[in-house]
Amino acid sequence: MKPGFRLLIVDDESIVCERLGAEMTKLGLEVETFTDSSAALERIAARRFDLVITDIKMRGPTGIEVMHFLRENYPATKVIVITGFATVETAREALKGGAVDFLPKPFKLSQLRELVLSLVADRSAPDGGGPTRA
Amino acid sequence: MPIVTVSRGTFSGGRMLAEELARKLGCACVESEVLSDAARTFGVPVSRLKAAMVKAPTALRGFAREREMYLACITAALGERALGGSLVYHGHAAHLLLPRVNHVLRVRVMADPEFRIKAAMSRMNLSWAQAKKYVRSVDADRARWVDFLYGIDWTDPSHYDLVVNLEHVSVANAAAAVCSMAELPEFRPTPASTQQLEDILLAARARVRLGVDPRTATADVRVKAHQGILSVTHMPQQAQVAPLIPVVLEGLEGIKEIHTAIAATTLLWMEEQFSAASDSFKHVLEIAERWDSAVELLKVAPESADAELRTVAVGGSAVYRSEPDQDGGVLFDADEAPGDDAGRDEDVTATLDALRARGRAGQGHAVGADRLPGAVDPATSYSLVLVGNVFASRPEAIRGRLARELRNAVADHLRVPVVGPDEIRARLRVGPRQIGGLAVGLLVVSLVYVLVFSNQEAILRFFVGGGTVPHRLLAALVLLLVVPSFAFLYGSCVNVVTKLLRFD
Repeated sequence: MKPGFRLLIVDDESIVCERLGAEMTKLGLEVETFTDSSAALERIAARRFDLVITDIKMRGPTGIEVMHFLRENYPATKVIVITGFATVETAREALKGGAVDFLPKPFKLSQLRELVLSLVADRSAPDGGGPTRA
Repeated sequence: MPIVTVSRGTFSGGRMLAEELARKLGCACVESEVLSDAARTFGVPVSRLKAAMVKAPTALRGFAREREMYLACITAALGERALGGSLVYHGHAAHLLLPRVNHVLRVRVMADPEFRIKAAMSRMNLSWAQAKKYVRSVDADRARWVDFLYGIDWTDPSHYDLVVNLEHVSVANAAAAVCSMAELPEFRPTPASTQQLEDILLAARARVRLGVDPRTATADVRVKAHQGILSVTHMPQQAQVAPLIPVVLEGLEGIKEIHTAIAATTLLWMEEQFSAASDSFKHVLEIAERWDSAVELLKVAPESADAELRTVAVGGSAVYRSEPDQDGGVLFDADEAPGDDAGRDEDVTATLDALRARGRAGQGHAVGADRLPGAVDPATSYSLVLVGNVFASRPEAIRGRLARELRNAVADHLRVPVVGPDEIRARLRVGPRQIGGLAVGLLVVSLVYVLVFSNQEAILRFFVGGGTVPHRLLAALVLLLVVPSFAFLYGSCVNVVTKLLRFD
């Protein structure tokens, strides 16, 4: 169990939210999922999260916009970007924008699991710091 | 019906120029992402390729098969649009997808670095330093991407018909200039250039179909088309796909005939540690290309490290997901992600990848040295075996002996020539020493010819005229010494000349 580690997942594909949500819940994290990026932003504004996993291309605010909001308001929140539409610019922008990592789809759940567990472990470390892979 | 390709960097104004061109020409404007989307629909992991390029460029070495499929998909997508009429495309060097299609006008757009940095600052809300770093990073990523796909430096102006610098000319005027050039006779479609485009499209469509169908997806094939006649060449070890190729391609529009051919032969290359950057790789590849051969790799592990011959898993899934959207791109751990299977023997997979990129990949195997040569199947049609650096952990004197014994044993087992790296080098290398020797040799040969043909009567009298035994013995001795020496010298010169001409 990882008490108190709050994770928000936002992707406009419900299958993605279902799979990632189920996997992260199994790890003992407090997980909230959203397929509507506007609703996700409202939730982020209302409550602090330790980690946000976001797609880039969504119907409402994009993942880059979510990242910018977090950087300005909750700089301690880590971000992992997932996308099926990676371009050079979006990859660079995501990493420059402070994303911990950038996972292009398709990816295995084990890849994300390892990454999230490493972030959980870093948060639990005495200095409370986290890796920045970018 | 001009086709204009605009190659551009980020924030260089290339998109604006392309859109203005399309407006003036009254045609569609297509960007590179549209072609990438076409590849995605066939399950090519485009995002993984592009992300690998940004995050870990060296990882792109494991994506030769994905690269091939990506190129086939985007070539098909671009070719279909190009055949449909006028087109303006903007992206990165995509005109290379349409080689020798003469009615493609290739334009490169440049902009002042300061202009680009300011544009990045404005659009991305960055400081000057951040924007400069961003533009440079994206330029480097682009250069790697084009190099990965096409093996060229896309900034080289020799790849373009026209280079436009938007520093001092407006987009509208630049577009007017490009439109004028597009109207020149050199860029009008001709029956020959249209046929070339149709051939490229047909080959690409065929390659995509073969790559997607599970029955032929794992085959390493080369596809060429000429006036509706499709030639598909496969590797010798994949002969089982030959009857499947026409079945898979049945119904593909534009095919008049299908010819399947097998790569002529196989070279077997044995090493303890393979490297695509080694001299041996270059030599093996050169021979393979001359002889139209596949190259099979056999990794020789120290004795007892590997019990039986095993096939090395080659990285990259060959079966593309025909409905990639059903899982949202999130795979359970039991699923296979494209490009995920690195295999145990990275040097073998990396070298096979490099060979695959040149259309020369056979299979890869690994075996313990004490299992050789029996583990190698003598029924395979090898034309040559190269035994590279093996037994590296042994002292030098023992290493040499063991390598010689291995070469002899393999030669006896397979009944084919077996060579070492020194012999290959000597066979292929033409350096200053060989050139110098050739010059001297040709001089001596010429001198001998001049002397002989200038003194024919005297020479005839010497050989025919003498009646005494000592004289006849002398004549025989002269023949015995001079003729073989001359033949050896002449043969050596011919050998160097044939090496220079790459003639086997």
